[in-house]
Amino acid sequence: MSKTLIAATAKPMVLSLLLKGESYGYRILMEVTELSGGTIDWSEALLYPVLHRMEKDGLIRARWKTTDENRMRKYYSLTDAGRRELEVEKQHWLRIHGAFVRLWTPAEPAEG
Amino acid sequence: MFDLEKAIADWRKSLMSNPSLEPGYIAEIESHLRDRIDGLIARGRTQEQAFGESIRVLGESGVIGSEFHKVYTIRRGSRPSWQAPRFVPGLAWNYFRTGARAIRRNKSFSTINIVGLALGMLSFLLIMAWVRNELSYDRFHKNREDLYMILSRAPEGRSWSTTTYALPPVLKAEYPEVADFARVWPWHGSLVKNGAIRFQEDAITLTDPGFFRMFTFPFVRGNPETALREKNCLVLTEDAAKRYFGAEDPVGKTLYLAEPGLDFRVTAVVKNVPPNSSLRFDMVTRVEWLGEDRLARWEEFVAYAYVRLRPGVSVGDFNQKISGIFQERINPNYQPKPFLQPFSESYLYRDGRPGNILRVILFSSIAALILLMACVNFLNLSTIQSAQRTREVGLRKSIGAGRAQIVRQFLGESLLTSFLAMALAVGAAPLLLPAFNRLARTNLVLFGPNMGGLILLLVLTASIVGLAAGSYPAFYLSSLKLVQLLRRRFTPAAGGGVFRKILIVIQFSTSVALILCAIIIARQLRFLRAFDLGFNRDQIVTIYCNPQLHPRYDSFKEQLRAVPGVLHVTRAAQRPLDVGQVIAVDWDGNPDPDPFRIGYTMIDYDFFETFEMPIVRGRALSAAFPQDETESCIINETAAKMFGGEDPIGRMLYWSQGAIDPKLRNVRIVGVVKDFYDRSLREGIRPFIFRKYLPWLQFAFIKVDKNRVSEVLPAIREAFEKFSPDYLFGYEFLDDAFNRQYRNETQQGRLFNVFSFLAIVIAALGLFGLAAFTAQKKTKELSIRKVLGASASELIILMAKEYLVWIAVANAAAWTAAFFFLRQWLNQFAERTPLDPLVFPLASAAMLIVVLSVVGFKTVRAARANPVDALRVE
Repeated sequence: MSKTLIAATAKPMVLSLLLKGESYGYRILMEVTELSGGTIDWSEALLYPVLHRMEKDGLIRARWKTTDENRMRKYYSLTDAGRRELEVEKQHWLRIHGAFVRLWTPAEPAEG
Repeated sequence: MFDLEKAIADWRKSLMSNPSLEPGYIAEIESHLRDRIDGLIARGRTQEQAFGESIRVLGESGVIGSEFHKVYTIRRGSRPSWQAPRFVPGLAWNYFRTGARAIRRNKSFSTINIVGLALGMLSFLLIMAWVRNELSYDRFHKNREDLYMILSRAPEGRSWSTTTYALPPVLKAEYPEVADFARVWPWHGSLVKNGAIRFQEDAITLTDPGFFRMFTFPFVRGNPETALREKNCLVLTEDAAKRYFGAEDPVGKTLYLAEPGLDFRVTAVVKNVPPNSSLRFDMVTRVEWLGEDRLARWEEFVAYAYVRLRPGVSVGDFNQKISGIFQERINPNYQPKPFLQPFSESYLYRDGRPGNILRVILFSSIAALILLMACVNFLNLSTIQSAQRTREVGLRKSIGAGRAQIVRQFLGESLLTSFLAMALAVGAAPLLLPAFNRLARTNLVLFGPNMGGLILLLVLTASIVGLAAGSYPAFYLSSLKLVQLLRRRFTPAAGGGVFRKILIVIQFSTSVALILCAIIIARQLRFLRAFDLGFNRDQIVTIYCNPQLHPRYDSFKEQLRAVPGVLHVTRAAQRPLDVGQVIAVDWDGNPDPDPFRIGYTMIDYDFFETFEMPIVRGRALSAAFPQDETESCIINETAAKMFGGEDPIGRMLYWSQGAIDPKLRNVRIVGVVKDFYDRSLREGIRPFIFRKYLPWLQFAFIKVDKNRVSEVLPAIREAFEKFSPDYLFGYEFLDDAFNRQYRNETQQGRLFNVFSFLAIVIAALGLFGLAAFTAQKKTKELSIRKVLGASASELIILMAKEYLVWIAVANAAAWTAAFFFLRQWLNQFAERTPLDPLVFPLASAAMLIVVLSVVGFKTVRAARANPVDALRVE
């Protein structure tokens, strides 16, 4: 999959994943891999900058938590702005999806 | 045992080196790493495998860093804040100031450096001006691609620049490849008159109408087609036209030529002949004036002749085609063969052999060597100088200069310096050119057409030298750690020894070789001037025995003989210096089937007395023997050998040349003259024959008492004007004419003097820098030795010792190169000064003195310095 496409999908993907609740980088990465059956392979160099950018834009918020193994881990969760943004993104992607579906469905033979 | 915590700690440290990764980010990435490792371990990997795999997936810290950086910048590709900007305009002035300050601090050093490079470039420019001038000969003709000179070649391979007069018209008539031809006789001399205005002209070229069609001499008046249509047409150069007609239009007017004694009509005026033309003339008329019988001769090789081939004709094929033409026309056993040589090569490859081209190659190599020396010096001196700026580099780095910035600063600075040197050279060249021209007796112009290549070469040189010279501070110093840079005393690394040794070898060998050449050439020229030619050329006044004087010569001679101070008067067809003629003679009992080839000239009585040539057998020609008028001859000792051991006196010889009156073909030998040199000393002694034969005697020789020259000259003039009132009096001393034969060599000698002087200066500059460097590098060592009791002279020897071997190598190289070159050069002379082995050490000693006086200064200062000063600093 092309790099630009991966980059373009990164934001809505992260927003969608965080909709289920707060999460952290490694798990997001694992979930993306799992969801796509391994076809979408994000790198850390992609994910973390995206997370930071979204945090900077106020779409998500981060906080450090101590885990059960007594380690520090940074958790991200959606802000209200993030939820709104996800709605907008969802509309965009559905519209694009719809367009492709119509394009690729075999058309009725034209009359006449 | 693998320690995961330690491995992670190391990895964390490596991330910290990236300025864009804040500690918070690193902590997050670390936690990510740990998650990934845990995950992998859970799947059965060992700790070590898991760690290795994880960090491989995470990738280079730089990649993550730059991605993180992008998050916080708006413009892609903008400069991260921790990187120095590419260019800070505010610093430009600072760069300039520190650069200028560095120059000012070491005024003498910097001056030497810049002036040295400028001098090298200047020499290069001047030498190349000369080279370009040589190479530009005869290239200005529009048809130059199709112009050829007709040369001749003997079966043994020797070739020469002339052909016979009969050949070129036949080539044009019978070979469609030949579009045009011109035979050229450039030596016609005559008194020329326009009313009261009269001059003796010596550069009247006799040629065919094709001359102006083939060669591009721009017409001011008239045109190439009509210029030489009739036999009494005359074409003038602008200068010649001005001489006779001033501002008037000369076309259609007439000029009287005393030879042949007719009026000529001026049909055209051409621009003056450019200096880089090997064809030279003041006036041009038809070749037919040489006489129809002469033009019809097949066996007289005196004509310069040129043809224009039709475009596209292969000269190789054509040469093949005409190679048998003499054998067809004359007889099958006739030896010479004609061949064509591109006209534009005829100056550089005279007589079909490399001639001037050798000088061109030689001097170009010298130019290149001098330039190389200057460049290497510049490099070396710049490096030494910039080593003193370590602290500046340190300071710049400590307040945030990036390495790239320092690289740019120093490269820029040294480029500026090298271009400054180039500007100096280019600026000084026109000022020094007149002096150079005087010194080398040349007439060069500096900036002719097609300068592009030379300028480009200089710019390229300046750039390369500038970049190379700046690379030490730019790349080496900037790579050093701050601590090293800011230490109180920094000595440049000891590396580069090989470089400096090569430097020494180049400097020394070039200089010594040039000194050697200069010495030997001067010696040879002195030797030639002092050489006993077998006749005495001193105090002999040569005058032109013009057609008016010729029939009244006896009265002229009588009048001169009465003048006190005139010792002898005689005349001859040629000056004894440059007799070119060769004829064939035969005699009864000649064991060889072919006639004997022998140099000859026609003379009058008193010839041997005038030139003090001793008659070793028999007698000289004398009016006392009536048969001397027609049939007596004198041969030289070498010619006498053709009879084996027999006495030649009284023997008959048969003149086999067709041109002479059949009645005069038999001559009897009456005397043998001592061997002498009848041509330049490039040639050896050859068999020779003299006879009296009046029609062709054009030179009169007057031997004068050396104390009365100033009284005698007016008397000669008076007699000359009395017996040939129409002619202008002119004279030349024979030894001046003799010296003129070595004009090329003399010029070469002068050029060598100039170049070797320049080379020595540049080499001295280079060695000065080297000495300075050594002294600087060894300051501490010298001081310690001094404290321990070494004397100054011991220290100097110590410093010199390092380079002694290399100086010896350089000398050996110079001696070898000079030996081979000089032997070759001397070989062109039949008589030469021996290659005295003493000269070699002499040249080296001369160079050594220069070096020691230059190097000594710097070294002595270092050796004499108070050791405390040097040692106190640390």
